[in-house]
Amino acid sequence: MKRIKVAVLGSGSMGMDLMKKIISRSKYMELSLPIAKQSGIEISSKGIQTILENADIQIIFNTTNDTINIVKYPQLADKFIVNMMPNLDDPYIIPSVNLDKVLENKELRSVNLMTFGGQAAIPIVYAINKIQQVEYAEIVSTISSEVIDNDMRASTDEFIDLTSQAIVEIGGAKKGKTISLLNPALPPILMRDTIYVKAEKYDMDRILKSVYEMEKSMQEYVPGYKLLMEPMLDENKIIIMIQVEATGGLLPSYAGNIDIMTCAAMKTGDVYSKKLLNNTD
Amino acid sequence: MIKSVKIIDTTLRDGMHAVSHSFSPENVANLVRKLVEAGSNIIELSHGDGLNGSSIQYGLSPYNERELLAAANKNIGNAKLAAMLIPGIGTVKYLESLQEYNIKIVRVATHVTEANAGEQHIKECKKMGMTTIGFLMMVHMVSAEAILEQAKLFESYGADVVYCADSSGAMLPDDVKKKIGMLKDNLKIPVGFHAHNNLGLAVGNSLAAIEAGVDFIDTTLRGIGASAGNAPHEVMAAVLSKMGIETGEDVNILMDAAEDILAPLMKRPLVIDKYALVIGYAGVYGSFFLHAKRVAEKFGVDERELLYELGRQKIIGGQEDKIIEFAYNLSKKIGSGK
Repeated sequence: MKRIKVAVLGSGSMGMDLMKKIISRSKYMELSLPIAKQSGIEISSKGIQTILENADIQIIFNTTNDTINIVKYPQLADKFIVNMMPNLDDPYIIPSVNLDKVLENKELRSVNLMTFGGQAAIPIVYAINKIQQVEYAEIVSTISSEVIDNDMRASTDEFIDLTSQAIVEIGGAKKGKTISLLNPALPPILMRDTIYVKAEKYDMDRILKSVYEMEKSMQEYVPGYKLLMEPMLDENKIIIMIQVEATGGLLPSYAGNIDIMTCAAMKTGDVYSKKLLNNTD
Repeated sequence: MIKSVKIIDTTLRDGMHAVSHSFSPENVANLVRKLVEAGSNIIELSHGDGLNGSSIQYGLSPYNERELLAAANKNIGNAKLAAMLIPGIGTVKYLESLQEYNIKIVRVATHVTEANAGEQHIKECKKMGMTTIGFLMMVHMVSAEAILEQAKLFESYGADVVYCADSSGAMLPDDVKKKIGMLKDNLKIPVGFHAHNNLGLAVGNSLAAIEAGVDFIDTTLRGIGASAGNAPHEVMAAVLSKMGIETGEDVNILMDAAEDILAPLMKRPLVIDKYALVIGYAGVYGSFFLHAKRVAEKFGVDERELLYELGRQKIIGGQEDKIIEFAYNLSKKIGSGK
């Protein structure tokens, strides 16, 4: 069966995990890079040059801090780029929320996966907003100190601002707030998001149904995603708690923050690839 | 011979925890005015959990923070306005938007093991020309050596002062002396200590810190603050005066500030009740106190059990949502036992 050739830029844990996932799980994608013997996966250190030289590659997953788009690299005009570090220029993709809609635009050449906090929590805001306009949504994102490197610590403010913006733009809430916490406890804790939602009224039966449906949608591409308890109505706000446990790939279980990004990238790549393959039939 | 100590009054920040972050602009104006009259040099104001802390997670303030800062700035005279900033809660951009309120000192607060979470914030605040304090919270949880390692990071980022905060009020005087001493011996920058009163040791621990050479201590009027509160400003001033240690402050005016202006605003008496004592004894984050009480009531579980569990799991400041999760689990255990 024909597969779409893809490349992953960046050799950090996110890049490595994504490559492993593509190789072992992808339905429509094929990694277009040499695999070195038995010891693992070798990444071409010539990075973008290699990609440019390889006309077959149709999707690029960029896990580096440098944004890639066709403004910077016009030679990439025929490729599709998934930027996995936050930027302000590309449309944000959250697969369970807006992937199909965003991909309707055939001219679109690059997308952005924003932040892991947004990937995990905004689908819930969206699911509730479908039933009842969300006046205010607050995301409290907690991850283990073990999984956050110095680069990530330096971008805490950006994480907060971008995620808060996306709560409104993609989640549909009127107002959003994000709090980002690091927990140094050992053994390392799993990634958790607590979401508080305020609305004018609460039809809890319909809201619960929508939230549970969204949990299922999320689990389709993020197997380790789950609600920690039944969403509850408490003093005029809904409290939801979710957990993302990293499964498969190369990541320890507490690296849910990386896992959800690579899962979202995989899903985005697979859906896009399927479209491409259908179009060529 | 210790000649002087600098006091930071944090009635309008730590005190916020005790009034569910509800001091009004009028309250702020009156308190700041009286503190300045008393000779207070540094007055801290923000939500209990730092600038922009107003949230469902930490408690919504009924007032816009800008109104409070405006009221403080208007009455600050020659004293300096300080504010707390917790990376992950407040952002540099938000702080930049507050320029008109003349915040001169920023306390970048992190958990005791996470100083590097504050690197960007300290550097940006220094760029903005502010005096920056690196504030390590929950210092009872780790060794003196570990604290020094983190303090050195703050120093390397350009922090002007490093603070140790006994957030749970769990420390004993010898522990304070050891940790402050370690910092004083090895850092080039001044050192501060922030005490809590859960074991009745706020004043004693502050004196131990002073003995070890601390440069700054934190106080609040009447000791108002998270759970069992802080070292009372008017009491510390009286004690230091008796010891011949210069603070530049007027004990009597501070007494009046506490009695006439602050006391009427207190929502509950500041006593070391069972829960405050558990917090100090178990070493749990102080501002969990009010949240735990309310949540335990809602789920029909024992508040003390809830707090001991939080202590056992080493839940740190910022994890208030765990209180709900643990209470829920405790209630299920009780339910399944029926």
